[in-house]
Amino acid sequence: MTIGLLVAIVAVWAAAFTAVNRRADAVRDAMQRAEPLIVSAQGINTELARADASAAASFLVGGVEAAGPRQQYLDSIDAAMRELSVAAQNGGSVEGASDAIATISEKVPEYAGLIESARANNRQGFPIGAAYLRAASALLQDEIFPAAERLYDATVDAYADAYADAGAARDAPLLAFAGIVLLAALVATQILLFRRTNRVFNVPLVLATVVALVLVFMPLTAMSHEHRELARATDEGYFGVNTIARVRILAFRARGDESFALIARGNGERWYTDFDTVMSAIGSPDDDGLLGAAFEEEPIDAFSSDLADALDHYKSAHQSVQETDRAGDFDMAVTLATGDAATSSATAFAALDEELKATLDEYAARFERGAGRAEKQLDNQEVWVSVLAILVALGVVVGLQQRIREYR
Amino acid sequence: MRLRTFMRTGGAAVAAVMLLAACGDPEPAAVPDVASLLTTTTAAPAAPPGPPPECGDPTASSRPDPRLPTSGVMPAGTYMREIQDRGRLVVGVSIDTLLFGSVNPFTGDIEGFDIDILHEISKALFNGDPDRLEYKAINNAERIPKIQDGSVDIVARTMTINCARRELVDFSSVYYDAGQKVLVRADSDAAGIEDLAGQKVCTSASSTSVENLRALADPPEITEVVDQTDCLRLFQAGDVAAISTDDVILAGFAAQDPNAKIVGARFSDEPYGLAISLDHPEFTQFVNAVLERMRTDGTWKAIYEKWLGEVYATSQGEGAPIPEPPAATYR
Repeated sequence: MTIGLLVAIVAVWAAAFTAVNRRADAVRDAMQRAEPLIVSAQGINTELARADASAAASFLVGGVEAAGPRQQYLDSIDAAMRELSVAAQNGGSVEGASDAIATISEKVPEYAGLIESARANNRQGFPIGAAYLRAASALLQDEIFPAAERLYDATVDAYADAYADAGAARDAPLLAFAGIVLLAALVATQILLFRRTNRVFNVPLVLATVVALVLVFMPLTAMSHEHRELARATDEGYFGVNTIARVRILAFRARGDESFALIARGNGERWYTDFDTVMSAIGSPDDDGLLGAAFEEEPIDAFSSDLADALDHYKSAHQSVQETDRAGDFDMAVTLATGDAATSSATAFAALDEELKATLDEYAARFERGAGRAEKQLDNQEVWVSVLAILVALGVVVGLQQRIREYR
Repeated sequence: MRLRTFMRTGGAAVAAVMLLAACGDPEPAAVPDVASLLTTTTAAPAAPPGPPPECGDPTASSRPDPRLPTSGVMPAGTYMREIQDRGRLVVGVSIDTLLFGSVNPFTGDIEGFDIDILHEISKALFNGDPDRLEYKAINNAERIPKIQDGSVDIVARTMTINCARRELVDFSSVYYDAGQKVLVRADSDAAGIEDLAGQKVCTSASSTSVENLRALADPPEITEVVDQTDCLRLFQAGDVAAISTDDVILAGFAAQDPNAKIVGARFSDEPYGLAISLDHPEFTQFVNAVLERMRTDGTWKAIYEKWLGEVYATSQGEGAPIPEPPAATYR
């Protein structure tokens, strides 16, 4: 009987301990590794797209190579490689991530080499520079961006795994089941003892039963609170991070479309069409595109109105570029797209990117706060569960030893 | 007794727990599917070409009216009047064929032999203003479709006149006689296309060059590219041993790469014409009149000297006289 009870206690302890332990690890993983990885993966994508757009802008403007876009290009490539090494450190073990990371690491230097050939030829006035620029962009589109997409998807899956571990459906039922068995066994034991010894209360066993109740209900409550906090953090923060990250990637694709439509010199329909498609996928904060989904889930009024304004401003700046190009005034279209004027689409895009980054950071901060709250719910639970289990075991052993001694 | 009831309720509890444990683990809400938001339709592939048709002399163009309309005053009802009213001539050109049509990276202007011909047409339409051109950069495959769908008024893009193309577009009279040759590494022993049998040779898709290569008795391994200039890039990367296309295009490549040389005799004739829609025969006559004037008043020779003078001097020797413009033949 003692053995049976001790086994039941161990079962409860095991169910509680492993559940709490795994969940605490999963929450920490979600907070410190999985969610930052998503931001990194998005960063790789957007920095590479920014580099490509800068290279294209340099090319479009012509003349002596302007210092601004060149520096922007170099900075963006550096930033992308930094994010890549962060991703490699934190995400190397994520399934599907290491292949994507390896592909990106191999191909980005190749891309940079083609851009340098484009520059070198351009400097000598050779039109073959355009062919190298085209080859660089094709490499980016055909091989590097797909790998970056795969990396992003892998990081999203990693978060989903962490989230699932942090709220595994089997935890509570298993603990409850083990708890019911233990409590029933304790009660049954005390009833049996009462029948045989006519003593109503075996104090140690009674105490053990009370502690056993706490042993079961404390982690159950903690897990329930933890999952609720994490779910809230996911809805209020993670979902926004994931959605705005995708919006940002798409926004940079649209910006690239604008440059390449102009480089195609009067033959850029394909890119203008893609621009429109991308813009409608992004949508606006109050419809059902990506932006709408983010803000519906968790509205941040200050941000959504600023973002809506920045987006409208960029779209109308682009409209001017497109109309001017279609009307045949190429030089003016290039000025409108690349110039420093407040009305240029370059300026408007920079402002839009600021807003997107700020929104992304805000959602990330919300997620972090919520995940922190979730983590707090499980603070020290492992210790408490172990201590209480020992106390229950002691109560059982002491209580039963008393009776056994009486029989001898 | 009570123990048995207890066991029964215990069993029920077990079953309940099993059911609960079978519920799936939670997943975070899914972000809207980006791929489906971005669905685009893909264009149907082009039909393969049939056997080349015959049509007598493909270079015979429409005889121009000897009275060229006064510049700036185009007759009503003609396509030239439409262009004049629009304010600009929309032209399909190359922007990366050095010597014939390419962007000058320093000035941003498009320039070349083909472009200068277009400037002359602009002058004839717009009261002496050579710059009333709206450029549309096109690749070789787009030359005919862009004329057919009206995206451009005229194509000046190293385009060879032949019977097959005559069925789809109209051509001006011949404005340049090119021929196909081959470009190899400066240290190569090859003396002509015949020495490159089985080796990788690059050329442009949708061109007479690729057809000519396929028709050779001992053909090379042909690599086709959509954008002709990519041939030079592949050549520089060592992915192909040679490039074969019209000699003037090769001259443009050689001017960008000191490690290349052009070898061999011409193995095809490539008479260049400007492509115009079959719907505007009076515009073809107008363009032919402009070309005829250029042949006789020295403009053609000036353009030749500007763009090909150096290349010609290198191959024929300093002081060799600039060649005469190709004569026009009319139907």
